Amino acid sequence: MTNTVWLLLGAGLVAAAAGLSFSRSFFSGHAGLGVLEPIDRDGPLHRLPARIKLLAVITLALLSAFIPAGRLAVPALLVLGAVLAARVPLGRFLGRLGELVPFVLLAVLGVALRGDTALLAVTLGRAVMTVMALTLLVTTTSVPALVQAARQLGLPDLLGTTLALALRYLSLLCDEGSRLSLAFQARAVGPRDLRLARPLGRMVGSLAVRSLERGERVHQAMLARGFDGHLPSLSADVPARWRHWVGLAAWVAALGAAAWPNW
Amino acid sequence: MHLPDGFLSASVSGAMYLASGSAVAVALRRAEADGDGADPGERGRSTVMMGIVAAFLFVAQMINFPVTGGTSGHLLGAALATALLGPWRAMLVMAVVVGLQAFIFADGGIAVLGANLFNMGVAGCLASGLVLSLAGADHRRRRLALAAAAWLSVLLGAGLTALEIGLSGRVPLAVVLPAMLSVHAVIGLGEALVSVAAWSLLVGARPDLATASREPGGEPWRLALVLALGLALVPLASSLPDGLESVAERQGFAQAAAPARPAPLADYALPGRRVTGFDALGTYLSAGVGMVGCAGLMLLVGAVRRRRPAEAAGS
Repeated sequence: MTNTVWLLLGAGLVAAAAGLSFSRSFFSGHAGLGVLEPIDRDGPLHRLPARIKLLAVITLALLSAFIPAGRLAVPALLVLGAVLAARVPLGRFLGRLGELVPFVLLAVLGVALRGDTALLAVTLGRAVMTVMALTLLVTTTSVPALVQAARQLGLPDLLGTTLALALRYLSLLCDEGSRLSLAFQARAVGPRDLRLARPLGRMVGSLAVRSLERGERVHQAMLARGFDGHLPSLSADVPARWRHWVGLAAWVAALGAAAWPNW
Repeated sequence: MHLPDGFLSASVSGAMYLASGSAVAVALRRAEADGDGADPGERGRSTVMMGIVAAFLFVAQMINFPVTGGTSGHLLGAALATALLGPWRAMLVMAVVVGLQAFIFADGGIAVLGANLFNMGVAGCLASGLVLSLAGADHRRRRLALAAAAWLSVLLGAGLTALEIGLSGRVPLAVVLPAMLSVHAVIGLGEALVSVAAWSLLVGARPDLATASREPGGEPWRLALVLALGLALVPLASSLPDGLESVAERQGFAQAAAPARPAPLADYALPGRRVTGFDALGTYLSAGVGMVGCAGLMLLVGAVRRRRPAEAAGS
């Protein structure tokens, strides 16, 4: 009896964590799309080279996976220090952290079933730290600089070019999508269940047609400007100096020391 | 399905990075090998299209379809991307989408990026490529295959996600696997309906834009190898005694750890998976899935290989 209740609760939480939502809207939009706009603020973290910041976030996420719960304070203090140093409005973090809520509930359920509170601390601590570090990264770094940093760090050319083009067209296609779904919402009558999936699919189809036709036009225009399949890399980044590398090494050393005996 | 950091153990995350990394490496080689041909008017066309499709998929994932009773699911897009670009380019596009969501929008973790990419991109694109390559050029059969591929890609992603969470010891597999699979069996229906309707409209409006779909799914043997590799790595990772990271956690506070209190779900999952046989069950389960999957793939590959020469002779 109680087992059934637990299973049902689990199914509900899993569904919520899996992205099933109770939204009435056909288009969720993306509140985070604002990160694509140029950064107007300034601060100590804004002036760091994108490569260094990207490496710092990646090493934080990867090394934290090896840090035991008892020493999770080390990466937590590092992230907190970075947050305080960056002078970024704290509201930026709240929205991002809110998306973790279903997963938090899922983790709590897991602990309730297994009775391991330390595992809960580790799971949630890592989830929150990565989200905060990533939010910090995109609020203090322009997206073109991030793409360039990823390419400098060895992202394959084809992936880098695709990534740059995708970011270029993201907000355009997002507008297109919200226009289409507004029109759909105005027309759509009938039960809100799976029977709406086919008309919605036709809407997705027209979004695909518009996107691909735009792609064709873009390609023609790019050919006219001498495009040969590779995007030239224009420098958008602050040059990395030796003190930046020393700082990164200290960051990695602190995290590595916290993770040390468990390698 | 975008797992945040912390939800997978270090060994499972590492294994999934390895699986995703090798799949993307193969995809890069394949995509670069069949370029745009010598025609200067076509130069770089497929790359531009990949960028556009990545942005399109990102937006398409924001479109919610109602399921029932006020709940809604959203599109995954791996099957649709495979129908548009073929499995290898679709896989690269999914890698860009998942990476973008993780790094720019903090949607999904960094340490678990390999797992997220495998669940939502690699597995779905490979399965879709295989199913679509079986369908041939006939329009009706293609639509049917796309529906099957879309449903399968959602279910496969959900099953893999549940398996990884379970094997990492976060939530008992007996809870997470049936929950994920049952929910996604329904969401998968929506995915199938949306994908087929979108595809039909595209083929009706601009059949020339859907040309990439006619190319076969690549070399099925390599396809099968990558998929089998991915499936084989999950049980391997979990069978590492204790996993690197659980050792870390135990050592961190072996003394402080209170004895596990009686779990409410004692019949299904027993607290302390290292003490009981539950972990072994998970390993055997995933190994079984892997073996059945491999056997199925081999049969499918055989069928494709026999079919192709016959089709060529017929047309």
